[in-house]
Amino acid sequence: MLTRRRFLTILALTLGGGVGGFWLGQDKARTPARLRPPGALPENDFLAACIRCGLCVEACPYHTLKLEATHLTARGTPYLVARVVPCRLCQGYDELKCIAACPTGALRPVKTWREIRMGIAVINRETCLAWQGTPCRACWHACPFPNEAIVLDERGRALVDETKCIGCGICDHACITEPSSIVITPRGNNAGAIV
Amino acid sequence: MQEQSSELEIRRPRRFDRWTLAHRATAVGFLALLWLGRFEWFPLFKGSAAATRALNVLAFADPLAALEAMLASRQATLTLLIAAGLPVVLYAFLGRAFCGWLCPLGLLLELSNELRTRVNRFLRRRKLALPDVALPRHTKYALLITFLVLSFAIQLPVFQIVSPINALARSVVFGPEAGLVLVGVIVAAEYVAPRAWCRALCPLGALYSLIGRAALLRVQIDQAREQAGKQCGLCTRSCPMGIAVLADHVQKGKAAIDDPACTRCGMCIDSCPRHTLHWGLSVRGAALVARRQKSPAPVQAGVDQTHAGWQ
Repeated sequence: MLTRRRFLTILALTLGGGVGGFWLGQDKARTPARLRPPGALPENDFLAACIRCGLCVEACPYHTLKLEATHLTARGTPYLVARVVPCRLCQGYDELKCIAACPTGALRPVKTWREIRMGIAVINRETCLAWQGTPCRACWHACPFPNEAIVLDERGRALVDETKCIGCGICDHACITEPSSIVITPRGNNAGAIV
Repeated sequence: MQEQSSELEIRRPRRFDRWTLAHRATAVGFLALLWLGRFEWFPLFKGSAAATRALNVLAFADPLAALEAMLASRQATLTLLIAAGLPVVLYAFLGRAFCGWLCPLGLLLELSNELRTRVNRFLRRRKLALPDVALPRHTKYALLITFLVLSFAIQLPVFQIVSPINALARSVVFGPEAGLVLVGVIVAAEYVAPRAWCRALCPLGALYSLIGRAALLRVQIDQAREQAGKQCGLCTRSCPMGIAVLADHVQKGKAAIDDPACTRCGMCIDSCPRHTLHWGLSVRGAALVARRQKSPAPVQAGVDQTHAGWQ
């Protein structure tokens, strides 16, 4: 029986849910910029499509992926901190394990590594040894696309080709300065162009 | 002296509660499998509450999670449709069995409610009692619709984000996360409003109730035994969903429990001193007359006789 009292209770609880949802929409704008796994949709689409199951995290053979545990909107979504463990692009495996594990399509299949667009490496020329005159090419050595994504100029200084860099973060991990002089900027919502 | 009619005086005989034990063990086992999934050497079962994968091949997705993700992202992948379709088909046969047999939050709340009952018993001896607030059971449907509309509107799988079920499962598999606060709040609130989450609020339970409306697996009422009984009401008291198990159904001439809230936990079957209830694959249950002809001898009132041949 739908009494007046019951109706009002249902209405109040539902409105509560609605207000909570609206607040969630506000919270979404404050989501920290995270480096997402390879094949991830642009940030807003990714947050919409990911069901926060953690299958990609369990599938990652290099223990690169972590699960967001605090921030509300992103809670349960995968991310990585390249300086700690970069995306090794499943070297030694026949496929990108996280993409294969994803049940939703939040991580889209890629044909080759070159299609991945996780972010772009940005060099801090103030702290980079090569740019400060000390010979160093640790990032160039580590990069999976040397002379393509990271090129050395005539004076041995590293430059990033934004059209080639896939944002795996291996350079960030390899950088010998502390803090790192080459950091990945997540593509975020600019990642639209998944080639 | 033994035929006390007062409801509180009737105590069910102590015996092995097989279904209570079975569904709790299954939920614990499910959680244990999920936990093991964090290790690479355990490929049998991976994932958490929102989606799982067995043997690296077969994926299962929470139908509500899939629905929300599809609404929020305005796209449907075949993988997701198949993964969500499997549970939908399963629970269309089994009803809301997920809630009773797998849900980690359901398990936690059931055990917590067990403790509440003990606390209440302790308090009652001192002429006190915990409050017993009942929220309207249809709220969960309103919440389900709210969450689905919101998911589409703000392009986020809203319930998956706030879900205490996901938070609990992920906390077990991946380590504690902030969502456990809500789990704690619900556990605490249920000391005031017992089983309110599963009964009145959970949108996933609401969806499973809808999916399982025509479920084949139901608790069946043995009419002959029912009529021989004294309407002790133990089944109704045992039901975690607050279903008036016999009272509501027998009066309406029903021979099977057709309440969509039924989680198939089997606690009513365990509770009955006369074995009036049993599992069966029938939507309406066996008709009264047919049942009578089948039963070997007219069953008389008396616990001892009806127990004969059972245990």
